[in-house]
Amino acid sequence: MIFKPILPELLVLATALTALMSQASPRKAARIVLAGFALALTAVLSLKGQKLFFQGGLFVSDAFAVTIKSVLLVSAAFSVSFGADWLAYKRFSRGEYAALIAFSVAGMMLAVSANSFLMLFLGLEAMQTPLIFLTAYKRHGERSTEAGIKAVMAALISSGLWLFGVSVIYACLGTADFARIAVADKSAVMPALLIGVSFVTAGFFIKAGQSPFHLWLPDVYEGAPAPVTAFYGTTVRLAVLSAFARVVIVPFGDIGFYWHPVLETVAVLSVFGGALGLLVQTNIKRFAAYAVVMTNGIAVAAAAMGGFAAFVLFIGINTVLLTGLFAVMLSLRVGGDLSEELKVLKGQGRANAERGALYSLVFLGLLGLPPLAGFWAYFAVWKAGFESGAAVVVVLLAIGNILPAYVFLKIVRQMYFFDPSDELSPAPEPMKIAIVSSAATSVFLPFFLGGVGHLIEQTVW
Amino acid sequence: MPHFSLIFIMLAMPLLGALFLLFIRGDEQRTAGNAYAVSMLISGCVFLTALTAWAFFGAHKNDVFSAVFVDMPTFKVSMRVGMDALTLFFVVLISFLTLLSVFISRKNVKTMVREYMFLTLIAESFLLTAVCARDLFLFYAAFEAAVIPLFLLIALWGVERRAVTPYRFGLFAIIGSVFLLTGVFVLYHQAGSSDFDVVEAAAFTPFCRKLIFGLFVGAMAFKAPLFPFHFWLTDSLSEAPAAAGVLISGVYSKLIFYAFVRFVIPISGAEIEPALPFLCGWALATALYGALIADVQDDIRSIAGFAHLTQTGLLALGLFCLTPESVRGMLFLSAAQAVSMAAFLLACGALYQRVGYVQNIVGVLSVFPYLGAVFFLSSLALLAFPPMPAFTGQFLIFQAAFAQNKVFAALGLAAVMLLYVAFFKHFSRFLFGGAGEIIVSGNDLGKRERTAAVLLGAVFLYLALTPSSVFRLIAAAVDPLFEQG
Repeated sequence: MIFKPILPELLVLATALTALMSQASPRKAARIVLAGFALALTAVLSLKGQKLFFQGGLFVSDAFAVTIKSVLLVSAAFSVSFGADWLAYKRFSRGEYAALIAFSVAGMMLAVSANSFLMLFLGLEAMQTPLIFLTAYKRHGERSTEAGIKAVMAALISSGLWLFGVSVIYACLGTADFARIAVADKSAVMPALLIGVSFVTAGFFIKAGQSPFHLWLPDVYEGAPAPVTAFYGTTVRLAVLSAFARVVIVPFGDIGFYWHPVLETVAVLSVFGGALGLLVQTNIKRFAAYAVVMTNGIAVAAAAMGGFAAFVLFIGINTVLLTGLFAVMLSLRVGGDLSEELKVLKGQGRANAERGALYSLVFLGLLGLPPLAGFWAYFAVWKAGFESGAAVVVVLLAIGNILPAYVFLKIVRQMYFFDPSDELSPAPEPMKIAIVSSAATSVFLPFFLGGVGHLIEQTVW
Repeated sequence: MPHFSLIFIMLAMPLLGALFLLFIRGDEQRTAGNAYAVSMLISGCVFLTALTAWAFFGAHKNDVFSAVFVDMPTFKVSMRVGMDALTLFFVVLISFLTLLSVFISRKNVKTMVREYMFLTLIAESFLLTAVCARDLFLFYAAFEAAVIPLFLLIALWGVERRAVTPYRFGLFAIIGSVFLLTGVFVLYHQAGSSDFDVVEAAAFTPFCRKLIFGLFVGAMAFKAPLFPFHFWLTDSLSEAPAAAGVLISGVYSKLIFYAFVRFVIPISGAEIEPALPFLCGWALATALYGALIADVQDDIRSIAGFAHLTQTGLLALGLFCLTPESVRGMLFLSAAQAVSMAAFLLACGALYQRVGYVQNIVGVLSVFPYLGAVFFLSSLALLAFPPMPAFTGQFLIFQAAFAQNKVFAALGLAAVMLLYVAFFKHFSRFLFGGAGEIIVSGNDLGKRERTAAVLLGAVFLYLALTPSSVFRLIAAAVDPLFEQG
């Protein structure tokens, strides 16, 4: 079948259209989309172990794409169920939320599988547009609209830089195809080509929110409706970073002399920018935003220093842990409102020991305290860094990682050593599942590291 | 390299036991009783395994006790665990102290006993993994991992100022770990592998040796700790529940000395010699500071905290004298001190449980003759008053210090004397009565506690009378390091 490689994307698009056309209630629309995601996941997994091209090589479904798309679909499914729950909680009656997520996910899947800058642009833009609608979903809310405008600006600027970069690359090499760029002789067009690559990189950095291009990110995260923030922080950044990792490793894998200084500098800046930002936050959405900036830094370092394997291990574990963090954020319901203040966590460990323990595991896992899963994700990146000879960068990254220990421990301490000031409503089912699975991954994954490494080896090569 | 061996059983037993504890159901009292029984059984078995390893040590060399722990070929990670003399010394110490701390907590811990035992066993597993690791990163990971359960133990079962103490403990541990991690990175980077065998055989440039030495000293300042980074230790010892205090003072704060002996001594050469007198001075400053502050305390438990700080200073002195004798003395003192501290905390806990507080009480001996006697003897042990076992260790350290610089030895002795003053000043009042809150009545030590006291007394006697059996093990650990260097 000619459509086989692109079948998962088609399935996601079809469910998005169904959800939109059926004018279903939010809950029903979410169910339709979740079913579609399940089908798409099956289709993705059926492509495992094959390398298939579509549209003459514009689109490729290889092991890396399959792995990332599987994680993408699962984390998007969490965002959909978070959203459905939130819409019911806020008494929204419009059903297009799930459909918009599905449209955006279809774009992401195209971007992750893109084998040419053309397809990549298409995918990223298809991802971006519904995302802006989602950001401004609370049309009557001031913050949401403002965040929407900021998201538009960031998207436009990044796409502009990005397109300019691609046009320079095309002018230099006469192709936008990854496979042909990879084998092209780049030495003849060297300084000019790097300008193109730099613009593309800057575009990606803005989209993913790497320091120093991250200034829009906390504002948008804060203003966007809470489940959309979760979608940004888990699924969207996963897609953008994975697409970027492919650009770094496949077409431009041979200009390591450029990637190493650029990406390692940005990684260190992001880790410190994120870590220092974390220290002063009181709003949990902004807190999450800085956690994302910080881990984004390590993800690009992983791509630069360790290739696909380190990148996949890091981003996989990190996405699971961040999903836990966002689920914590979404479960802070006080009375009839969703609180955004970190201080709501105060005393919750005393009020409910089990809940406190799970929250603590999510926070400590994200901090990367050994022996929790987060540590091993960092460890794989450090190890890769040493092997590529970037010892100083590794030391800086490690120090940056330890800095936020102060606030993470403070949160854990506040949970247990003060009396609760607010009474939290019980966490809704989807958030509970996300928190439990995140905490369980934190604790139990280290026992299966060998197996995980083996799995990644199989799926990446 | 086998993927399974006896050492796995030893490392996994506490973890499995901890998991098992989670499945205990029933009303609170029954849960507590069962959790206690399970933990005693598990920690007892671990201790027996450690003793077995000691008995067989040398006969089978390393075969039975080494295995691959973490294997990730994708990332070229293969971490080994194994046992040599140095490891064995710490394994016996850790497993004994855990057994003791579980035993103590039967009476001391009143609430959430199951969770308490769970954390203690988890901590034991991490600490054992840290000393059994034959890989730099595994050592680091396990060492840091032990912070979480210890943090929670102080946080959830501590007394009075428990909002501050555990936080301080965690923070200082993490600052120390920045140094430790950087040191581990440098070792790894220079040796090209994180495996101990490779690291020990690797050649390091003089600059690297200095750097590694400096970083480990930095880690030690926070983790041992040395003055002025000691607040967490003295606070923890006076705030933490007795059993957690045993693990923190006896094992956690000693592991950095282990790291020093393991990584730094074998590679350090003549470059670091100029720094040693200053470091000895720092160690002595810590010892003197601890003793002086102990003099002005009036709470017996904070005196013990500062006495521990003084001893830590002396341990550091032993380490920085850097002779085979002083390092041997250091190791022996650390074990003797750990057991003494455990005995002292046991007595403290027993008193606390009867009276509800230990500050400013007088006339213990008239009400609790046995308890008072145990208290007195354990305090003497903590002070390293001859013929208590800790004295043997101190003696070796002073001997080495004397050979290097007479002033060092004099200052060290002065610290010890000051410490005696601090204790004896309070003891007559504390034991026989005077101005203060007089205890009216109470039950003296029960059968279980008396048994514990007698057993501990037997351990003291053993250590004091036949230190040679322990010294053989210590010598097997220490001497090769100096032969190479």
